[in-house]
Amino acid sequence: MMFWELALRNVLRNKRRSLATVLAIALSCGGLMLFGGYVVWAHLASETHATTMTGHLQLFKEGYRLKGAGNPAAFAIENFEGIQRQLRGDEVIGPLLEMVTGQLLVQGMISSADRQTSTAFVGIGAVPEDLERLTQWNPHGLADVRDLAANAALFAAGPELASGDPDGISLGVGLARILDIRMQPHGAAEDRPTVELISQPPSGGMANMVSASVRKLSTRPLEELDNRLVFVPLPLASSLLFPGEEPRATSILILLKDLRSLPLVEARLAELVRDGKLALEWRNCWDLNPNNVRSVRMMDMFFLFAFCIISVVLVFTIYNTMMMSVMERVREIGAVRAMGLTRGDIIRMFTAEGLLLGFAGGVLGLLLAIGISGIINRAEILYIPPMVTMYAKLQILVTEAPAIMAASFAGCLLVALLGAFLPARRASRMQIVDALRM
Amino acid sequence: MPGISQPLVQVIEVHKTYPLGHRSVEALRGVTLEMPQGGFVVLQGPSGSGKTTLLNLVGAIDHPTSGRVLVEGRDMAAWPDDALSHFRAKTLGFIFQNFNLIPVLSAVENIEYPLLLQRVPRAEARARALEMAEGVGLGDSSDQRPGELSGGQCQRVAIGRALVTHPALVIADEPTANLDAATGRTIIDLMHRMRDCTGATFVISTHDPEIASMAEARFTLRDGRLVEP
Ligand SMILES: Nc1ncnc2c1ncn2[C@@H]1O[C@H](COP(=O)(O)OP(=O)(O)OP(=O)(O)O)[C@@H](O)[C@H]1O
Ligand SMILES: [Mg+2]
Repeated sequence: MMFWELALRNVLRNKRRSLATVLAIALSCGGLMLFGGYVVWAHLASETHATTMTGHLQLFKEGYRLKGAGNPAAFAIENFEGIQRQLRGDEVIGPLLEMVTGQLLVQGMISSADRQTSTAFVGIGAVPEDLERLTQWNPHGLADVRDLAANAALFAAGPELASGDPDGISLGVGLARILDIRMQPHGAAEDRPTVELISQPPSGGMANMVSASVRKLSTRPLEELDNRLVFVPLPLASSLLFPGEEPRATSILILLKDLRSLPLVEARLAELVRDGKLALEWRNCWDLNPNNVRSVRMMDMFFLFAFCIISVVLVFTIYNTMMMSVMERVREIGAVRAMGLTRGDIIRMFTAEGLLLGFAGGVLGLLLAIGISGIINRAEILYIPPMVTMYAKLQILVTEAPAIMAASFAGCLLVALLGAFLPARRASRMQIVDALRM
Repeated sequence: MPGISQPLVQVIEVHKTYPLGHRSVEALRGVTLEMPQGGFVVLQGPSGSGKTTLLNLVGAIDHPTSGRVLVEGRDMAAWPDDALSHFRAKTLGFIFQNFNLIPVLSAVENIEYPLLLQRVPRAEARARALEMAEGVGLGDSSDQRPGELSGGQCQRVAIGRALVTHPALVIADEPTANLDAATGRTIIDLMHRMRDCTGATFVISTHDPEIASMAEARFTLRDGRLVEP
């Protein structure tokens, strides 16, 4: 049948009006795709950021989450390396693991004898290579913040910790300022400032103290952290809390090859706990980073909001165009009805024209979105995301998110269908004799 | 099939009243007539006498207020809308005063259109449409769109479009009113000729006494009633 051909010719009958409608659809749909592409990026960036902070899962001693912050050392896991081996060897969890590592949270005082300063600190004792691997984690291939020239000062000094540097620690820039510590620009190891870390052992008694040298200052994502956070090699942190004993950890951090296997791993952990094979509780990256979840939910709401407004406006745009088209063709409708077209045929005829407008708008919108996102992604637009202190590169993931493209495109067709339906129905309900008298 | 002696169209005691604000207009006031199979029937009468109203009823695009209209012996008063559409597509052909061609289709495509609606295969439909275009004397104009054709040519296309499905009855409401006298005459000649070779019954309305005089059956309406001419 020349059904679609006829619809197309009718659409082209009033070229200017159809073009205006198609452009309205294309711009709305393209804009929505760009916004969607940005939201997709925000989701992935937020996930990546959360993961580099906390891993995908952390296992704690029972009660740690409720009471442990007061005395992390009291909730230290003695045999954490054994548990790591157990997880690596587990038939379900093992193959899904990218990395499993221990971290020891320490709190206490940090002081500089040279500068006669001291303040409270929160330290994370970490295995240097594992910490580096965690901070480099970028499964979605997003633009790496380390590669941005604007962030060069933050990352120039190399990894936070190094295994060949057992007493080298790294401080937040804010903490260094409080302690009045300055780094020599190209200083040798001997020139590094030394500091003392002091902490109360969980067993009570005399406070313990270790010396460390500052190998690096780096800006922390939150001001609160910047003023307090210290990265310490795990053995050094452990020797502060448990002098002369085997290293311990307050949490076992799990990085999965693929975040999508999280539910599987959590189910298996629950099984291990139920069977008495594991005496730990755990939190996943969403529990550990509630603000990330909240901010991407907010983005989703914005998107939904924009989507609804734009959809409603588009429905009216198409309604208007199709209504004009119907009103111009009343006599023609009467004639083809007299010739034997049914009411259904008339509805199909006009909805087909609406669909063509939606289709053309959708295709054009898609091309616009792909083109503009390409330009934006190449343009290196930098901004500082909320709760972070470094630059991020604005990325709009349009082609990388085919689901968004498909949904926007389908949205165009749906909106066109909705907008065209009422005028089409109106056309189908005309009395033939009245239509012919027009 | 209607019997040989049975007329194609029977109009029995038909009244048609249009509501018009608080009043109502009685367009037909008890019309009874028969149209013979294969005939060339003319309805005449002054403006407002009810010609269009009667043709609409015979053409199954309107219902009488009372009385019965039978086409091929069938009363369609209670038929659902889709059944009426299919009946019109199969049995009737319409020719309008202002042609009412589909402006985005070429002449031959306009003729082809009713065939495609009946799901005739495209190649066959095109062949029949071209043959019909030839038959109504379109010549080289078959590929032109209605906007590029003269009134006479448009009405030739309309005749082709009405006849291409082999209807039993062709209804033409003032087919020559938008044409000059000479062109109108050739169009009426063409309709006669097409009637002769297709056997379809033609019923047309006109103001033109000369056209009326060429008819085989003639009905004159005045104020919604049949009168002697
Ligand atoms: N849909 C309608 N609503 C109201 N009145 C109508 C309607 N259609 C026709 N009429 C009235 O019915 C009467 C008959 O009209 P009709 O169109 O059948 O006359 P006609 O003989 O075809 O006239 P003309 O030669 O001018 O075409 C007229 O008075 C007309 O005003
Ligand atoms: Mg009339």
